[in-house]
Amino acid sequence: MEQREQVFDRVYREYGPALYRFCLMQMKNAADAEDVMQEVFVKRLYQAPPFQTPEHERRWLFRVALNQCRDEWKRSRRTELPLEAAALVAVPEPERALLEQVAALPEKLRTVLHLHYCEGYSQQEIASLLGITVSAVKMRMKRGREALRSSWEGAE
Amino acid sequence: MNRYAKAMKACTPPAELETRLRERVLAAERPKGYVLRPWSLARKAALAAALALALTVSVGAAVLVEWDAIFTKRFGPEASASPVAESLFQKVDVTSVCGDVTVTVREAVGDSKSIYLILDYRLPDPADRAAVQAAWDSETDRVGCPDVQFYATGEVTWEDLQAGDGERWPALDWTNYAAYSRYSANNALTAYRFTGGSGSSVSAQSYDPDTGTLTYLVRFTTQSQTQNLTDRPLTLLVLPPTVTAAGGEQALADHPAIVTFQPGYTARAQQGQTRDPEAQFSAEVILSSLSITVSCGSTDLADCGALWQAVCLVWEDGGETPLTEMTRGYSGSESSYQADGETCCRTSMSAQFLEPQDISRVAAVRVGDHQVPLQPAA
Repeated sequence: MEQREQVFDRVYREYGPALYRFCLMQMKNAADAEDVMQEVFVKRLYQAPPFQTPEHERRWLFRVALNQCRDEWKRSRRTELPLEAAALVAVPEPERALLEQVAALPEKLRTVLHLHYCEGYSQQEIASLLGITVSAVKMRMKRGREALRSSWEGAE
Repeated sequence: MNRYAKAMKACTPPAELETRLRERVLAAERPKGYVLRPWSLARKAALAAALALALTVSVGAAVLVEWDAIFTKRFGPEASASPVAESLFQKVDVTSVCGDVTVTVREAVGDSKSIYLILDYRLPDPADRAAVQAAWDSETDRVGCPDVQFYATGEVTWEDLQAGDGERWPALDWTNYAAYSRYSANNALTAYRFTGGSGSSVSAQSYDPDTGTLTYLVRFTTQSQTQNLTDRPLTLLVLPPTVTAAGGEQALADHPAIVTFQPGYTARAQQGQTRDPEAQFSAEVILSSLSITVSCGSTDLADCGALWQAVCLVWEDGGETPLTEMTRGYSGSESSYQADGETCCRTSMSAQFLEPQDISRVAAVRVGDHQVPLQPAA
């Protein structure tokens, strides 16, 4: 049986960076993303159910992270803020603008875009993870892409 | 969009993040260190006394959560052994003598919005016990359940009820539904009714011919937004049961009875509401069921069946359980109304759990990607 330290090391190694990027796009700043990650890891170490497969564990981690981000948003009643510039120091300029535009999308749109384009989840997998229909995923991806296109054209 | 993935890859976590998280997360439940010191004889004796007390208390607790077989039948054999059992259960044993009728609330299982209780109704001596026994054993005749009403009274005694309503009782036909319904709706306790909607049921469980006692399982649920069942003493108004034999129905008493007790279990219902541009949600989880109403939702949620399939319970640990795995079916209603010139739909659905749930661990109800955070009911 894995010791807690070993679980932490393994989960961070396999999913930490991806969870950080997801939380950052949801929370828009590194400090809040870190707080959410802490909650996710505490739940993973002390309260998680047994996982059937690595994919089951990954999906659970993203689901918990999303729930935690939404809770934080509700709790703090925060308004939409731009993505914190300090979190993007390592990102080259043209890509940084794209990240800012994705981060500015409504939460539901940016969540599906991020899970699909960054995490490689299929539409079916996103539907299962979010508990929505595949057609709703398709609709959100379409709306998200259209919103990005129009904001990109507006910026040019 | 491949540019997005490439850009995100460049967005790496801070180098020290892993170390910080590791330290905080592992400290979250790390056992505290202690200093080992040799124990004095006095401390050893104190430990022995404390252990003896703890054993006594735990034996007592085990007895307290030994549910009556009626509850075991209703909630399943594992329910009384579940971690939640103690917070739901109360050994009540409160008896009220109301003239020639004696009523006893034996045990209760409940939370702040719903209650199940075992009620013993001892028939008055003049009642035709032979007819009751014959009807109980018969396939065609039956012993009718009493109408039971619930009130948040504080303290009202049998004498108070008698003084307020006693003059009306001789003229009442307790076998006539219209007559006793009017009395149920308007009596000396009416001012103490629970506000908001409510639901109740009574089912006969057993008849003991030796003592002339009928035993019932009674359920009551309030949808009040302002009152809890646990806030103050709860009074049950129990109308006379009836027996049907040889085509005729007769009341087994000529007056109602009341019994008052203070619900003492600790479980609380969980409620929550949320609103977003797409819809408004309100949800309530009680020990035995979940109910949810969606107003102005998408067409996907305008159907009770679709709503039942879309709902998940989100637990404190982040895990989720689909409602379909915890229930066998649902009941509900769908309606539409006009709001701001638009046609909106309202879908209400409720589903009974297969076994009582530790609702204190339910953090939210999720419907698709709408999440309704829950709080203990006010």
